[in-house]
Amino acid sequence: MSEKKKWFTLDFGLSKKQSVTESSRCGCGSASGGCSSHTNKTSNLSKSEYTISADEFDAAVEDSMASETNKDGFQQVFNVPMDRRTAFRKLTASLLIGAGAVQTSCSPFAGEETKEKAQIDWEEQFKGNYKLMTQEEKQATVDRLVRAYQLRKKENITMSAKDATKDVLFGYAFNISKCQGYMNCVNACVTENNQDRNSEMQYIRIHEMKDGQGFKFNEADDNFYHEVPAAGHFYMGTQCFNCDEPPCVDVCPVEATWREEDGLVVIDYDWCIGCRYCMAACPYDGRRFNWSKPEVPEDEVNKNQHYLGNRMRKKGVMEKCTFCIQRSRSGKDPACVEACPTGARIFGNLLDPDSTIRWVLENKQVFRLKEDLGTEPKFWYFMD
Amino acid sequence: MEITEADHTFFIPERKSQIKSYACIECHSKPLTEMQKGSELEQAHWNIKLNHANSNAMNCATCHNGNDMNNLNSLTGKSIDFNKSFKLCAQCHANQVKDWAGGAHGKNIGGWSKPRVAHNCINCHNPHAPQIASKWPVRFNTQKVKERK
Amino acid sequence: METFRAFISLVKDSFGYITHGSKAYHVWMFFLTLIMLIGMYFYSIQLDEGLSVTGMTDRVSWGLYISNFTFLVGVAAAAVMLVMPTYVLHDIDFKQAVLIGEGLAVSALVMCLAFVVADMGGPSVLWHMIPIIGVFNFPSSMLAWDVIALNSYLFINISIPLDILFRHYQGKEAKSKVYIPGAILSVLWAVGIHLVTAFLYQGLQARPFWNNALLGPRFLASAFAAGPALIILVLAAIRKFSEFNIADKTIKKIALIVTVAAQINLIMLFSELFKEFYAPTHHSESAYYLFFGLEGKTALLPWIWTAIPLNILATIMLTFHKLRNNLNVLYLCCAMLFVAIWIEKGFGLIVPGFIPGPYGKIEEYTPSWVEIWVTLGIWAMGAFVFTMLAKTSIGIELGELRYKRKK
Repeated sequence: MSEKKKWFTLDFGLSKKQSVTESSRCGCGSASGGCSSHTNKTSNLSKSEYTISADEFDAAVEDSMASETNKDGFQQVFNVPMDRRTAFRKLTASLLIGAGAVQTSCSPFAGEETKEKAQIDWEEQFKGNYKLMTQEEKQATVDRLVRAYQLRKKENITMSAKDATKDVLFGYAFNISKCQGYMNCVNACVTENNQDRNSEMQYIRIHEMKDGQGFKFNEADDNFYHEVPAAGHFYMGTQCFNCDEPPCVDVCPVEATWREEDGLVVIDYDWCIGCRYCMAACPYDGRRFNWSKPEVPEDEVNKNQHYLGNRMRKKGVMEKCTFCIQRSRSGKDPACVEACPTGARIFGNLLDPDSTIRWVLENKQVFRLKEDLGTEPKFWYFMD
Repeated sequence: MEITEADHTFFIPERKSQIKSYACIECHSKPLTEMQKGSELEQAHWNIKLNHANSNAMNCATCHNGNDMNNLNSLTGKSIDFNKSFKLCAQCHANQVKDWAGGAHGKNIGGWSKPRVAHNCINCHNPHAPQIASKWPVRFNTQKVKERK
Repeated sequence: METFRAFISLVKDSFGYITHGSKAYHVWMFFLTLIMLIGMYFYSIQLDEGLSVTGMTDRVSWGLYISNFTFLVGVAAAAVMLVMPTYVLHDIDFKQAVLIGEGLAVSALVMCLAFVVADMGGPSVLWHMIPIIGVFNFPSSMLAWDVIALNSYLFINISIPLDILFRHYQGKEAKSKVYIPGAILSVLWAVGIHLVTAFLYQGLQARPFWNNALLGPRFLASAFAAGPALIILVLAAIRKFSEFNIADKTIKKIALIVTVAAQINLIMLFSELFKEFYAPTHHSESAYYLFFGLEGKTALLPWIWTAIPLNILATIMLTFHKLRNNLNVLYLCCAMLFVAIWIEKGFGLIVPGFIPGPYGKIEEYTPSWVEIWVTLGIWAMGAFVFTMLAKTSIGIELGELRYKRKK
């Protein structure tokens, strides 16, 4: 019975109401008794509630066809002498069979958990773009992801879907005269954001430059290992600048990346198709791609996650620095700021006139990289 | 504790409770000159080497007052509370303290949101040897070396 | 109803037609299938392991796939340049060439789409790109424009020849009221797809090597040289292996197009080189890397110094009527030009765009064997598709395939 219901919940909107009320009953995202908060009532729901009769089906088809009639080019194109209703029914039936096949292939004799996993995977595969989701849908996908992690790794994570706060616009300043190249920021970033350990992915680069030659990035060393600060050198960090006019956002063909209200440029990892156009468009080397499946040892996983931030990524998607959205949206500094032993990194709300970032911008000689490109980075450099 | 410096009001860590043997007068029960006379007391603070400016500019008495060990001592002999040691630093390092008050120098520890909490000078700099020693970076990326071969 | 039956019959007949042929034909198709299967095997490795099995890195994030994609868009666009004179100006010389040209356009587009899919990190979520079901970042993203442009171009180029062939198959004349507007549209569209593809790169302020107003026009010029050059070679092969009669005059007319386009392309190349090397700025570094290498990194030098002499030599040879009118020399020139432009517009354009990186770092790119085999597999698929299309259309045009009305 529950198998029957399974594939009907991802349906054509016919039983949507029921499944919504069902899942709202329990936060675990499971609709079939996967967690203790489910009452017996769930399993008592009779078959008829999830199986629609032929009449209902026809009515539904009729409904959806009424709106289709005008733009249906089916007949003109193929000149098929078939009754449209029959055609539609056949199509729908084959779709249902397909969906059922996928479901049954991993269900009939498998355990409840396996079925639930398959259900979650299915819903995750066909969910929409996070940017366009309603608050409930956002929460639903977050719940599903938490539950999926629980099922797979037997560990609990917390995942937030917290939106931007009003009157907050994040900005970042970097003191070139203070940075000593200790790399604590890089370490903290990797730990905080669950970046792939195998490829040693890092969002932050620290460039070691020679004194007296200006900013010569091409001659700088961004992978040094010697006692720091080295004599006659200074250090300059780069990462994603979360631009106000981000070129990476403009080029994305599927709007998988966008600028949030608080100025953070984020990615929906599940919507990204991995075309890497944004990478080509970024003038600051701010974006990273998962060339293979990212891996983090289980005991090193940061379990305090945000959907748009440090949740586990998959292979073939982009990722980037989000100023630690999971931290900054709850009032904390990004991990790099917190870890920096020199205080070279300053982070704050640009809209708050009393913030330290504002004081720096108003009292120091600040500049940004490649300002001529019109990207309006929210990342300023200054010196003492 | 809350302080106000150059129109900025924010919090810094309280200091006195962090000093191992505060109050100082528990040992320094009488003025230093008198204590140094007798040899019945063990020598103390012998391990402190002053490495802060040169000996023309600074010695122990620049900041400490032998007659009032519980407080710090300004250049003009005014007393400065241990909790507000930044005022002592500000005598020479006025620019740094101005930057610190504004937020450009020093370390923010409480997150970006209000209330603002920052490290005091002595949380990072040892006042007797304020220069921070060099060290090795905590990380080295071996994959990057491969990629750039 | 009748038309529908005729259509079914066409599909059946052409299926029978393409599965029968000479021994050489079977060997050729078997060879292509073999390459395709090897390519598919390597693609399955790529699907399994991720794009890390390619030579691409965070520094050079597009490689062989996108290079080939860019080049093939040009081939697809150019093939249709033969359409205009035939259909609209009733220039009879081109008539046979056109169906071949459109077949070429279709197979080039199929290859383009295959290369794009091969380059994706998440091919299973490509439905996100389908309008209405997915989210389409139109008009902001040039890639969105490109998807629309390429797919509608594919549709146009399938439907026009299909209409003509279908009518010929039924023994009727093609309706000029249908195909002339279609032909004009497809010519405009051809320019469109190529410009849009150029804008894909041209619009990136992050990459000064691409962010160059000449990129679009140069794309067109090189496309109209390389595309028809390929058509000439294909026509030569068809002349040899089938009874389809293509006059020397047709080939020579196409050669004229190739020549003019190659000359324009060369002028633009010189203009670019002048700008990069007479007054070098730090934006010229990519060009320096391409032509002379930077900091001892010289991976592209053998490529570009093969391409440039071939390009110049072929253009000079084509310029002389005497040489051009000698068909064997012409074929040689076309082959040279084709290779030269493939290098210049593929490797020579995409890879240096990423080198040096945004902060001046140089990481070189060498395609991996997986990438090379997938690429070969896709080319084999293109050749396979083209052979089928060409064989069917030749069969219909020769009258070997005709609809037999059954009552």
